[in-house]
Amino acid sequence: MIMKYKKYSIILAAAILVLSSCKKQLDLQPTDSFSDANAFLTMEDIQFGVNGAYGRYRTYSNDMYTNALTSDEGKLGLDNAGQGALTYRFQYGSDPTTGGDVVAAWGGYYAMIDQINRVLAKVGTVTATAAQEPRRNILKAQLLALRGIAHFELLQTYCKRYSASEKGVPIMLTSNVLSIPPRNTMGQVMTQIETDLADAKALLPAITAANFSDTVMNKVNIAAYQARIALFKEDFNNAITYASEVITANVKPLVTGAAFSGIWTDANNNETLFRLRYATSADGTLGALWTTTGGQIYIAPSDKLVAAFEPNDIRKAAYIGTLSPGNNYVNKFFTSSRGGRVVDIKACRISEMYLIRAEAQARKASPNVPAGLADLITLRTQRFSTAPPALAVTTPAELLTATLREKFVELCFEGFRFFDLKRNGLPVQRLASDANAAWQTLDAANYRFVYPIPRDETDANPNMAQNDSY
Amino acid sequence: MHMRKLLLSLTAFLFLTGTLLAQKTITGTVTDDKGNPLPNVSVVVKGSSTGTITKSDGSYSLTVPAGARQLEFSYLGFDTRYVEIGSGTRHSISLNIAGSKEIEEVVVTGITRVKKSEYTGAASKINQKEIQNQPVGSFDQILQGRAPGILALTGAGNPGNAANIIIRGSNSLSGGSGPLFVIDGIPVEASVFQSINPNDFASIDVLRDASATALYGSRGSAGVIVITTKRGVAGKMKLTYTGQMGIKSRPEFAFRPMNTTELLKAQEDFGKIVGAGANTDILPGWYYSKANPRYATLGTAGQADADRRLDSISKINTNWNDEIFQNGPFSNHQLSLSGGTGKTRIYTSVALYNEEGTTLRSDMSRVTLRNNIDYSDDRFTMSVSSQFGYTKLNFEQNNAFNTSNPFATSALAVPYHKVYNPDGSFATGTGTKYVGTNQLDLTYWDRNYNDQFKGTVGFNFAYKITKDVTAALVAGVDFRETQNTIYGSKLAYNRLSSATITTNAGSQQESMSRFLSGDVRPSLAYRHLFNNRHEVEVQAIGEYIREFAKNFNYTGYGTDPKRPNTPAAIQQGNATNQLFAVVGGRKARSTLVSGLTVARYTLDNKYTFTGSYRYDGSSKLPKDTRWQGFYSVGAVWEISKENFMANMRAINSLRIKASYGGSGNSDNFPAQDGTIFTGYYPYQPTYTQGSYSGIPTIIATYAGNPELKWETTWVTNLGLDFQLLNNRLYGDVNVYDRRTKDLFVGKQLSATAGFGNGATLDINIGELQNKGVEWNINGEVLRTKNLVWTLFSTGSYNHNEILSLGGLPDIPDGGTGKYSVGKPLGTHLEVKWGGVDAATGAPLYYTKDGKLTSDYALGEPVQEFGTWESPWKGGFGTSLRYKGFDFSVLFSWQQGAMKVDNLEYFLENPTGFMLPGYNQSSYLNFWKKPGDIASTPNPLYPVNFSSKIIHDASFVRLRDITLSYIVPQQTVEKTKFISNIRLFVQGTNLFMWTKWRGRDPEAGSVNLNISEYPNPRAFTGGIDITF
Repeated sequence: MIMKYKKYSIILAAAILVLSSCKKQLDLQPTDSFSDANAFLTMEDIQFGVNGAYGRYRTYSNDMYTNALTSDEGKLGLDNAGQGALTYRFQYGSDPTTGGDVVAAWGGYYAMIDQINRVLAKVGTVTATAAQEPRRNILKAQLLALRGIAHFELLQTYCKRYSASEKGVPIMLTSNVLSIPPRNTMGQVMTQIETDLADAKALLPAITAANFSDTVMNKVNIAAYQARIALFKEDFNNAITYASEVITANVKPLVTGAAFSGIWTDANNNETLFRLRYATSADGTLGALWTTTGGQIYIAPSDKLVAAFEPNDIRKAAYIGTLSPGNNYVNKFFTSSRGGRVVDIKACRISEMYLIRAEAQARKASPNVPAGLADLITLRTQRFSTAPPALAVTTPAELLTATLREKFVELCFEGFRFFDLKRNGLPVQRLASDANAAWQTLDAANYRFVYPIPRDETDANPNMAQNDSY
Repeated sequence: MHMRKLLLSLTAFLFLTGTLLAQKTITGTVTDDKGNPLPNVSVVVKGSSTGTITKSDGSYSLTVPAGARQLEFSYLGFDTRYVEIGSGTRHSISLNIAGSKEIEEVVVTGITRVKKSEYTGAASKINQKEIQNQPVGSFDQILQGRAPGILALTGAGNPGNAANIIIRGSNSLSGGSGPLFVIDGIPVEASVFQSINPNDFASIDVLRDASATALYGSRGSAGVIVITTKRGVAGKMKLTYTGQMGIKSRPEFAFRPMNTTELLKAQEDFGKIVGAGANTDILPGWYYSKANPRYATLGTAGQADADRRLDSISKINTNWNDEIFQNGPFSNHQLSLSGGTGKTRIYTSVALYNEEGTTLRSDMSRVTLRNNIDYSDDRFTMSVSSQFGYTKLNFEQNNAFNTSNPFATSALAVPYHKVYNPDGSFATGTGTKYVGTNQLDLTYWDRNYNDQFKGTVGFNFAYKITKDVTAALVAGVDFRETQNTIYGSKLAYNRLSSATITTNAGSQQESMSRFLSGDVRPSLAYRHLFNNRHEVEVQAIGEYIREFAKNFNYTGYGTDPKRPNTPAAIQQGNATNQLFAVVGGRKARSTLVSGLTVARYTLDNKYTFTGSYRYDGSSKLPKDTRWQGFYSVGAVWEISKENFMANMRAINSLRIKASYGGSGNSDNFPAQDGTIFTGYYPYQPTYTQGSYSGIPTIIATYAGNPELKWETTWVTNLGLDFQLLNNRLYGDVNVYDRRTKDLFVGKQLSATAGFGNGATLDINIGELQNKGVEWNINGEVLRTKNLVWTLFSTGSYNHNEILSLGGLPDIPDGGTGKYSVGKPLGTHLEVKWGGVDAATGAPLYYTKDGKLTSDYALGEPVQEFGTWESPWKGGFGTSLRYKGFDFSVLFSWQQGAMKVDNLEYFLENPTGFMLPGYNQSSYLNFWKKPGDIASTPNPLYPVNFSSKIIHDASFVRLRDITLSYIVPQQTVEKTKFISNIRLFVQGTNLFMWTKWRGRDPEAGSVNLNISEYPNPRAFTGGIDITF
């Protein structure tokens, strides 16, 4: 009998042994795709992850599109067969059918943030050669900067004019598939954005004109974003400080003449502090936002915009194309010196810094009109083939009006106009020739100045509060 | 001390009894159920090779060794019977003709073998007789109508096509509900059966309740189909030849496309309403019509020309069905050897199967080899089961609804177009005019086929450690490699006319896919009968399964037509010719580790209680939920063995069964896990390499569900087995309630998860119910010495209902319906059709408020039109035996299925499809003038998808008629070398009764039909000769 038990216990022991060795076999990893375990193992993988984050910032093209459609920059073109029409008519809701244009950035920027968080979680621990080691902090800094920027893009799109206690957006600092976060306040989100950008800057080396790159985040273009964000926060002193920091760095000075118009065909990267790259038509055709490759004009520059160009303004030819009198198209991003219509998104340009500083000088507690006017003149001097027309600016209010008018022209179709109006509490006012009376104006108090949270989000996330009136 | 003494004396007693029992001689007589003596019956001690055969008077005498428990009586054409030897020395028995009823059927679960009287669940056995010589390439096609609880839709009728099998209703939203298939204890890949020879099958057990499915743990919830192949029969080697030949042809359809006269008339009627918009020579019936105002403007010569053209067009009447369909010869030959000497038995067979499809270039040829070896002695038993099969399958061009699909083409092609040019070549060209000829041209030039090798090998070793304890090891491998080839000749018109460089150059595409699964299953079993009353059986089983899948493919271009259909003809791509080959591949693997305990206790052969517990660990699940347990409990009560039943003569046998338990379905993971072989890593986030303006990126593409578990199905089953009225009425009835819990439902994710707006992830949250009743009833209407007439009916009713979607909103089901709480799966979602307004010809649709509108956009899609998954289904038939003749008929049916007839949408749609130049259905009846009662609206209105095209797909099919004749033994014996001859003729799929107006309602997707390969009608005849 005992022998028998021995026999059984041997069998049993063998079985347990077999089973426990099988346990390892249960930990299988995919071979055809990466998993959490092996997606990011080396510094090179991290670089690829960071590239992915930059790639997702191309959502910015959606900001360009909606800013044109919901402001006075654009109008529906002659070939428009409904493209963006509901958005243009301020008839957007939270559903994907009517709100498709205005809710897209929500998903896009959170996908960008998630990508960043996934890579950030690994950047500190991946292996690196001694030569690669300095890249660790640089890549980490780029990720932090991009995370701050992505949160900022959400904030200015889906929230009201800045007020620390108003509904913000959820802050996402780690990747969480089943997350159902509530909205943080605008103040909380702003604090996080400022922290991310400051942390990023602290990790990055000093920049000179020689080592400056406009395709990655660095100390200079982060400062440019800090200036933009401070202006959004209506923290005018900081806006001036950061804008000055960028202008003083002098990595991308203002240019004029052919050097300026070459920017828009990618013949050069003058004035560009940060751009999102498009290598081939497979990456997308930016100009097709307005005009198809077949030449059909879906979204045209508004008559109001075309009329805003003064005589001898070199920007007019660079920005506006005309097929026949009154039939204009957006010439920005229309053709490329690289062949076809492949051009990069100019997400941040030096001229914006002058305009930020001018607006801040006008709006800060103790306005400095001469300083603001000087910035406008500096910019305008580069933008006219002859001496620019004089500006009649003596009061802060006049300075602000002149600055916004200049920005309307300078940065049209680059994703600013709608946000500029919102930040200053101004209505959208279109010309009668640009829009039917029913959608000629959007009052400053209208709830549609804040885009809706996608219905897909409120369906999926019970903690998500919808914006007012949607 | 006392204990030890007792043990000693007990051992001594056992030893003595053993000695006394040794070398006992048993005698007896074997008769058929009418009392006629049966000669040549094999009488074997079960589990050994000791045996003899009965003499001409049916008598036998056999000396059996010590420890022999059972005698096995087997005879070709009769059901095998087992008799307990016990203490007696005389056992006279009668055998029943195969297929009638079994006194002591054994339920094979693939892991265990259980006597039916001790089996607590619902299982049906399909016997050899029903499986043999069926003219189908994939054996699962046989299941329809033959066992209760199975919805077996044949699908398309192309050679070798696997059926859609659903046991007791679908139990998953996002995944499959296909059962697990097990051959000789080894699980095999589902739906790939073309290389398996069903003529080697001895039986198919269909296991539907938890007492069997729980044994398979995470794999069993959709039911288990267990196949047992033939084993060698002890005795002299017997060689059997089976030959079968026949022809397969196109069945009759309710659907008929228009002929030339009808179409020209329809075109004219259409033109009269539409007017100038129909003035195109694509519609000659109107274009050249005298009723066309254009005619008056043509002048004399123009009018004569129009008349001439219309006249010559009207004289062409091509029947595209005749061009596309053919009659396909069928043949099947098999040689098998069966026998055994000493301790070893062998079954070997080699078979050759050939089937030509009912359309051009669709056929199947298969060679199979099976080798089953059994060895047994007092302690050691071993069996090896192996099958190797090679199949070559040629496909018709395509099954999609386009003009590459011959069946769509035969419906769409216009009858006044010619097939051939005067020189005999196909009259190919561009545009709808050449739909039919271009199809035939493609079929002629191209090749599209696969070569498949499949090998399944199972080993089973068992060693009796003591009288009660057996250790066993089962190990098996299922291997399949399929090489698919698509040759696109550059000479085909579609390529010649293409401007795409690669298409124009011709192509050769090969894809190789491999599937390998290995299974190792050690076990330890204990069985003992205490005090002759308490029988206890306990088994502990471990299982380790590994699965590998791999795929490799390439497409090369520039193939020279002088060397058709070979990769050697591929041109290397370069910057000049731009013919870059495309290469790809993928692979995946999974592991399952399990422990299983099965226990049974039987008291007095009357009360049986069973239980099982299985603990499964799977590589497909995250660490936290990786190990999951499944259990089952069951009981059987043999009422007829109770004393109080002793006087009830009408009841021969009656038993009640109950079981409850759960199992999972590891094969139904949502196919969206971001890997290319989907469903292998669903809990893991997956990242893929991408590109940001030419520089590489790594981005997350699938979220992964970190809380993933199996969907589990819990089944309550109550059953009744009965044999009444002198065993002339027998069968079983089962009722069940299956609840699938933790059902995968696509939950919308917050965008903060990182996958954009509206991304979904399947989470375990829903609940689904299937409840129903199943019956299998057989009655012998007549039973005389020479004549037995039997009627049988098998069938089931299943009620399927989604109980919960976890509070999430209704979800589109990806087909024609929507998942909604309270509705069955497959419930169609469509705008309700209100008919055609007789006054205006406008289509009418029901709005949300139940009002009629002709504006389709205002119509409200509703779920009022039933489901494709038929609640009622089954089979019935009869068999008549007279002396050596056996005549049997099987009908299969389903009732209550609703399907979308997409063919109607296309072919009763003058504006959408007749105007661009396609043919229409002979059912087309469109509104022409006020007062018309029409089914298709005024052609000035578009035809939209609505409930108009959802129709009843119920049917009764005459699946099988077989007449066979066994040549009398006396005649056969005169030949000296032949021991048995059976001749048979058979008709398959001869008729179908249905209201369905399309082609075959069973072919195609489960939810809709357009124009698929119909199930062929077959006439075959054959012979079985045993030497």
